Amino acid sequence: MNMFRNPILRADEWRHQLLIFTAGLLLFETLTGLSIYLLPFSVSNQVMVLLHTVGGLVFVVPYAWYQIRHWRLYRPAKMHNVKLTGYIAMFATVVAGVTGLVLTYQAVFQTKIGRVWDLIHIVSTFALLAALLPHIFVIVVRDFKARAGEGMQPIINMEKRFGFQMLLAVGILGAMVALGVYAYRPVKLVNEFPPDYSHLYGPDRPFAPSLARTSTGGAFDARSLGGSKSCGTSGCHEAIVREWEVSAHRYAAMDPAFQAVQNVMAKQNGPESTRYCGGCHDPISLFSGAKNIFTDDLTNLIGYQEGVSCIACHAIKETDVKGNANFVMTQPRRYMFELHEGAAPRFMRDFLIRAYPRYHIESLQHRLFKSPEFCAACHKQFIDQEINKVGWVQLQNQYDNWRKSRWNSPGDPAKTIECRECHMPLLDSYDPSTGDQLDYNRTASDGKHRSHRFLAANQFIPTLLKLPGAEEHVALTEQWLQGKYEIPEIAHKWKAGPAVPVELVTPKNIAPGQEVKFQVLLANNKVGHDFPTGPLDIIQSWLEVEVRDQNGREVFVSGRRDARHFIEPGSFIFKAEAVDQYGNLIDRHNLWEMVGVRFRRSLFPGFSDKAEYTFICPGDVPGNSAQLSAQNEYQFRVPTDRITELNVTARLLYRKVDQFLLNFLLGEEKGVTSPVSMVSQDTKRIEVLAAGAR
Amino acid sequence: MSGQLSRRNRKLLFTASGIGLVLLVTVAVIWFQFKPEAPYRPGEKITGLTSELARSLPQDAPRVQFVEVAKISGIDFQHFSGKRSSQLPEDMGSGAAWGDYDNDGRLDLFVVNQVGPLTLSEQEVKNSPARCALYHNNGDGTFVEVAAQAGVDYRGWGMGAAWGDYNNDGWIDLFLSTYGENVFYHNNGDGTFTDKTRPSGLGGRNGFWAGAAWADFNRDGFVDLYVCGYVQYSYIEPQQVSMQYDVEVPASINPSTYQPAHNLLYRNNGNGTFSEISAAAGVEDVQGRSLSAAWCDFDEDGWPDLYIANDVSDNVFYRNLGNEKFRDISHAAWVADYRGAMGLAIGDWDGDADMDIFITHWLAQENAIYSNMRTQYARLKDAKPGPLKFMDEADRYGLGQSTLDYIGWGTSFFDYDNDGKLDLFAANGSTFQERDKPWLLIPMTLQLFWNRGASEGFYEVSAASGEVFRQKYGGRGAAFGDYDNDGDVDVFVVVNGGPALLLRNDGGNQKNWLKVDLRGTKSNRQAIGAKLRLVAGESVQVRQVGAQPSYCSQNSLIEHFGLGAHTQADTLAIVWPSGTQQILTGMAVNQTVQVVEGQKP
Repeated sequence: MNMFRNPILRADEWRHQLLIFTAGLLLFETLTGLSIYLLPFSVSNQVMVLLHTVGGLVFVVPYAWYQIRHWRLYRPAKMHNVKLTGYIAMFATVVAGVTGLVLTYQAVFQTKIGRVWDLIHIVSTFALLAALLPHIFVIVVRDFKARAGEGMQPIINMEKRFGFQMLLAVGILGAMVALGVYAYRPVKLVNEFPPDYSHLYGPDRPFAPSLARTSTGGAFDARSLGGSKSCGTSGCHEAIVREWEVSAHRYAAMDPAFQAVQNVMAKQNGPESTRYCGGCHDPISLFSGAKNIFTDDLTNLIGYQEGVSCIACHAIKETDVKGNANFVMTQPRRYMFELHEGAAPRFMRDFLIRAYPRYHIESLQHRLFKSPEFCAACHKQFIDQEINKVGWVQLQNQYDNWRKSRWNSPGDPAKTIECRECHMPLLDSYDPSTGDQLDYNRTASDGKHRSHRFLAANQFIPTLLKLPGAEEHVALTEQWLQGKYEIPEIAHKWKAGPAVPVELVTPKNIAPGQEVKFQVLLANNKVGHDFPTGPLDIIQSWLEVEVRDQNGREVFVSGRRDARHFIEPGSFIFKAEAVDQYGNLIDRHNLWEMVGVRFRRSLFPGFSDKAEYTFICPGDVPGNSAQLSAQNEYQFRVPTDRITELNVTARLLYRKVDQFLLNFLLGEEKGVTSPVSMVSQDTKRIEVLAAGAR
Repeated sequence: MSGQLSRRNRKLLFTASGIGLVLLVTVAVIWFQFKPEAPYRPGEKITGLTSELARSLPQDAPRVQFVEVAKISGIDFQHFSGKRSSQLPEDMGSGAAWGDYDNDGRLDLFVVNQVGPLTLSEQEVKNSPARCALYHNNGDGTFVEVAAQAGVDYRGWGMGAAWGDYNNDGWIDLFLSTYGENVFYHNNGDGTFTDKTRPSGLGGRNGFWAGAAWADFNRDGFVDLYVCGYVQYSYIEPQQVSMQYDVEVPASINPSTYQPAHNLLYRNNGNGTFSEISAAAGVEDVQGRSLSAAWCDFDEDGWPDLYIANDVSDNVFYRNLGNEKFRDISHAAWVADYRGAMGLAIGDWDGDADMDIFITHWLAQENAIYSNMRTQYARLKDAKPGPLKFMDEADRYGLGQSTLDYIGWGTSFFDYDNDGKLDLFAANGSTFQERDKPWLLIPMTLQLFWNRGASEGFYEVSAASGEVFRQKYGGRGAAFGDYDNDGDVDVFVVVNGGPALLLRNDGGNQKNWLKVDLRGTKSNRQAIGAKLRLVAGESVQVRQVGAQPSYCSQNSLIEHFGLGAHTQADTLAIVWPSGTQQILTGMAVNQTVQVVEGQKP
């Protein structure tokens, strides 16, 4: 009698320790696997991920031993249902095991698990279930039907015992999960306002006059919105964090100009009023209730250090085209150990996020992020009655500028360039988030990430704050301003060339004593919104024009700065001069007092502007002729100092912060001045005819 | 048996199929879960994007239709002849003015034209078919064009027009603002006009002149004239236009490129001549690129104040001090709107008996409705009105976000459905050139806003108000008046570079109305500046004659009141510019009441 028919041998097989151990682990692995796959994100699911991984590792050797033994034992049997399901189950288990090992390796040593490996792991699990359940079920049913047969009772008893042992194994391992959940001590978030929090604008509008809101309507612990640096550890989003670290989003609250203006506003209008700024500049402090009465520091440490942190953007789930920080921020649940300090917790957190990334992606990635309307929430600003008592005053509005410009053709990606396409260009990357098959410039495997440098026009603050990578960032910003920053993926619709070119229109020749009229034409060629844009009460872009003769002697100048860094009056300048209700200049960024603008000049996309200059062409330089001639060997030589040509140079310059404001905010004695960048330039030569030639 | 499987093999096949099926279902479910999202498209509606200021068409919107009837009414007006040469003056005109020049009791229409591109030679100007037109109202809903025989067929670059009876002879005279020298036509009373530009003192100044508004600012009984100066434009030879990469809007049509021009205030000397006193009066507005000016006594001190819409520069509010001097209180009154302002509507939209200001703006800028806060800021101790302050409430009352996509020009408050609340119309049209055909400007749709009451504000009802609102035009001037005398207000729109539109109001007169035609005796003959306060039941409506400049245009001076279901107007109080007050009571509805100053109607 072979063993297939030997009840004693079969009963022994059912109670074999290796079977019990292996099957118990397999059952646990299967159940935890299904739970991880099917149940929502939770601490218990994360504990299961950990136990599933450990269980899987423990499972490998005993299973291999058991499987080989089992195979050798039943190999001689004729092929039948049980044997077929056994083979399939074996194959599925091996596949699940191997893919599990690969996934574990990837989660531990790489930055993300492979999607295909993950899929195979899941499918093989279902294959295992589809094969193993009938494999056992058929045997048990067959034995049950034959229970009256000779020697069957011990087998049935052992099968029952096996069943109880499996249940016990599930119970033990379930208890381990429960224990894991119980033992885990999360960082307790305090989602509460300070006890003395001022609800000046009503109990249901704790963040007013900002339009920013939380999904709960209550406070969010600052820690839940911070921790941006942790995104860049362990090789995951290192490049992105490095880019963000020096970006305007990062220093939105740290910016000394912002801090100074916030303090001025608080002193003048009360600390609650600064919540208006907080929605976009300092959301972490705003939502954690830091902008409160009787508070010296209106920005808390995390808010200060991280400004618009990773979470602050990625946790926004709703934005309104009204702008002015009209968004709803959620508080994504954190993975286990995510807020803990130390190497071990960091390892565990990284492992969990990589091995079980679904929630990480779901909670922090959203189709909305592609939309210009998402950016509009903070890049469209107005002030209304709650802030200024005066009523609606429109301020910077990059969104509608862009929306109504030639860069926007709704529905047509070939003609449209949206915010992210310019300000978040694609970069070669090892980031786990590379690839995006939804984006029309990209593919699922493009090996690139979108830059989080948000390159724009601030070439001042990164250096002032000595941020990491400031020099590189400023150099890139200058390239950006000059239109030299190339973005290959949009090159077909965003042609190469200067962003805002200048072109001199000068006469070919002129006679001494004649009036020289020349023009500088400017064009907003590549900027997706007004140039310049942003707070134009602060930003300045102006033309510096020089006319020199052939010997470099100055004939005419405009747009130069004096020793105190002020631009000379009368220069051609892009800026705004806002005024308050008394007609006083808004020169401290005190926009809450603004009622009008007595001067404003900027360039809408595709618009051209013109500056005109006039001067009298000089003749020979008095006195120099004789003096120079005397030094020459030959008295009859043609005087070398006759003005024969005029070289005209026009430069469009740019600086982020005007000098008056800097002096006011930081103190003139500090000698801080905003660096000046050249946006574009042009030169022309005018021939000066000999006197009487005309 | 060959061809038949054994029982075992059938079982094996069944088992394998079963497992295969389970796997297939599993893969299918997983595949479904991983089904890729549709690719992102620019401008798509994404979950999470909201627009809390957006307003949909209300169910109870009036069923009034505006029907375009220009051609069938005999108005075959074509603005501009030829192709633009991308120069600012070509793009800014023109306007129109309703007025009964022959005193036959019917509104006639003067329409301003531009001959063509600035590159035209003198001869080409003379031969241009595009000339100003005077449409005589035949009284049957049709017009006949009589400009040539009347002597007002001006050929040039006309901007705006306004009828003003400068000599109080009962025959309205015509002022025409231009890019060039302004023109003044004296009405001879026989259907003809005499050019009195130079003798009157209203000419002799070349400039880029825009909106003009008549008012008796010094209350001497003669109407004075304010003329907006836009920019100090310098003609650009076409070859001088920059060839820089991808310029869409050359400097020659960018108003920021040019220095602002000063404005003109012509005081009527009462002897047929005018004196320009803007500097002495303090209303030159040298910093403003002015396009429209409204005379209105906003502070109710009896003296008409002046509000000026300036393009790409602060709007200006000049308070009339009563001594031929004005004070700039733009900032103090919180109404120094700095956006690109074109047209002005003046009226009491919220029924609080003070005059508010609606402003049409450039692209990507919300239109503004500056509500007069005199009533709201009344002093607690004696309920006297507070200091003159305005507040822009466009966002909350439906006029902000809904206008971001448009460049607005001609506009006025008017009660098109006769429900007793002032509605708004905006003639829109872009200043951008077509990319492929730069000699054409991009057209836009017109907008009609229905006032649903002071608590809610305005709803755009264009979609339900006629086919004309589905077409696109380069709208500029718009003039409002009941030309067919059927009790509802019609609109005439001048289209830059295209045929003009006469929008006949069909159905507005389903509700009751009253029109008031004033004739001054002590005051100026047209009663410009007269204030009307009409009470019908709980409804109080106020008007000031001639206060709405629209854009380069002039509305009918016959004041129109919608009365809804009221069957009589209980009280009509009139305060004439001279100070004379008259009160009329118990007037029947659906009629035009003629009131002569100091006489019973």
